[in-house]
Amino acid sequence: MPHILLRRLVDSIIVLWLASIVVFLLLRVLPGDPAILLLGENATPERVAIMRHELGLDRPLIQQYIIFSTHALRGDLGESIRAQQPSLPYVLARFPATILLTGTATGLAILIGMPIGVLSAVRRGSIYDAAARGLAIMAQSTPNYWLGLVLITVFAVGLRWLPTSGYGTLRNLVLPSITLSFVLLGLIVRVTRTEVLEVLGQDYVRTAVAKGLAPTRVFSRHALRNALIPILTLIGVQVGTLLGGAVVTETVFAWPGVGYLTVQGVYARDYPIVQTAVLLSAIVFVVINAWVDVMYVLLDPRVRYD
Amino acid sequence: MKDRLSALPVLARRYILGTIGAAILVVVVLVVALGAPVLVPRNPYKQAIAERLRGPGATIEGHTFWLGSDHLGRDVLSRIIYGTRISLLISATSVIGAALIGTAAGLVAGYVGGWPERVLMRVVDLQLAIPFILLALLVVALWGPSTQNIITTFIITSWPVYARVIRSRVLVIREMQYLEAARALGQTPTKTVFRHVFPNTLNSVTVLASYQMAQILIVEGALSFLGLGVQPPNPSWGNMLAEGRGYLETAWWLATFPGSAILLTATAINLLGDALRDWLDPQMRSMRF
Repeated sequence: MPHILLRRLVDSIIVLWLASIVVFLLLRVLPGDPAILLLGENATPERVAIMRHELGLDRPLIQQYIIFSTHALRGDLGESIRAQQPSLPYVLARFPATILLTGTATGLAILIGMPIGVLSAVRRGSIYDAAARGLAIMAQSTPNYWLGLVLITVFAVGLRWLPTSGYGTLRNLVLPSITLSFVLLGLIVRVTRTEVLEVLGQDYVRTAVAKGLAPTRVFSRHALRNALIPILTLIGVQVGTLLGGAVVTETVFAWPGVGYLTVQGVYARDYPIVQTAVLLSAIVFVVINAWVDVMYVLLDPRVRYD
Repeated sequence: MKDRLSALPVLARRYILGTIGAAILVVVVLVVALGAPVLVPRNPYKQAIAERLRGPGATIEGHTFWLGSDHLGRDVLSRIIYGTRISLLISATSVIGAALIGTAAGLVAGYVGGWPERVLMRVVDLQLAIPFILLALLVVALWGPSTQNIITTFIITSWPVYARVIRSRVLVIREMQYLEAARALGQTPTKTVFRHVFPNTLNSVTVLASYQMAQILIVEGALSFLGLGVQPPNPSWGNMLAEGRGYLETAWWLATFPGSAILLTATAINLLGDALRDWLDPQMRSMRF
């Protein structure tokens, strides 16, 4: 058991290390002066000089990276140009809003997508199946920025049932989370359908049916449980997509999360914010996928790390 | 003929209809993109303040705005037609570039193994860990949003997808008997890869490229929507949406039509991708991306 988990841990650390190199290099391969990029155009020459020294811009690239990474390990990812405060806590403060949004969207996608996928598999070849497959492809092909605008036009502007933007109440959460859930919804329907079809063809399901187990029990005990694992993997792998979707969705709904902050950071050329956001999403990805690995063991008795 | 059709399972017939519909739509989009200058009812850049924000079907001085006019009085239909050209150019070029690089990397990683494989797999992990759009935003913000930079960004951020899939295909192909035969006959590794391995990965590349095409079409729209893609006054589906955003209450057509263009095109390409997969590469059914 420790062997594989250890290897996964090493892999995760390597990914984070690579992410830090990407973030570091992006600002250095530019023609401009990183110190000015990091401080903004309006910085005084004295501050730029101090920054140049802190970044070690007069030293070789390797040394600069060592400075960058030792600072990063201490949680120092620079200072936001606009907010004039350390960028890590500044970005982290927006994190709960993003977790709330992506979490709700994932929950919605699972709650709606799995039953549709299961039914689609069970009634394979029916009109229902064709409709579910069509819906899944449409959901995957829907640009979330557009879906957001359509939902705003219909439910906020037209019917006036829900607010167009904002944060804090349950009513604010409805439209953004539906918008964000769509891409994942399509994927979950498709994967659930494929997996359930595969599981239903397995010998142990036939045995369960043959020994007279009620269809619903066959389903919950055997089919669903086994289909759950690939879906879990899918969600793990899609964390990046989901966070990317949150960038756009949050911007459409002015949702005060990390994504909205990042886009504003890009507009304001507030690079420390953007760098922090990129690193943070890599960390979230690594942590969630480690959690998925642990969930495997809990869900599937065949998986034993030994 | 009718008998033969009804002999097919109900399901297959339904899919065939969907596939044919999708294929027709894709052909239409291609024709529109190629023939844009001839097809547009009006110069897409022509402004006419007096004719601003007219609804779909409004006719002014002999010109009919079939899909309405925007806040500068430009013809929305003409702009969508020109937008097709730009969106397809960006996504097709990006897909071809990324497919070439990714396939080459996947072949090397899968066939050679060793450290190239290990390096590649970590890069693939990295690509999964950093949201595509976030990286694209950062790169385009730093380099400036020219069409060339957008395409480069998409290639840089999407080639690992191909590398991952091709590598796993190569791992299977490597164990096939015909490769054993080639090796036994003393064929050089380079020749083996080109003659035997590469042709057998082509189907997977085709299927993947079609899904990626839809994906990049949507992401390009997102970049333009955020103001970091195609720059106005050049029309793209994404920046038209962004411009229409301020008129949701008064001029619904501004955001509705470009959005529908993206949705329809992406759906058609994805449907075709499904058909290609069932036809060319059924194993990919279990692949998740």
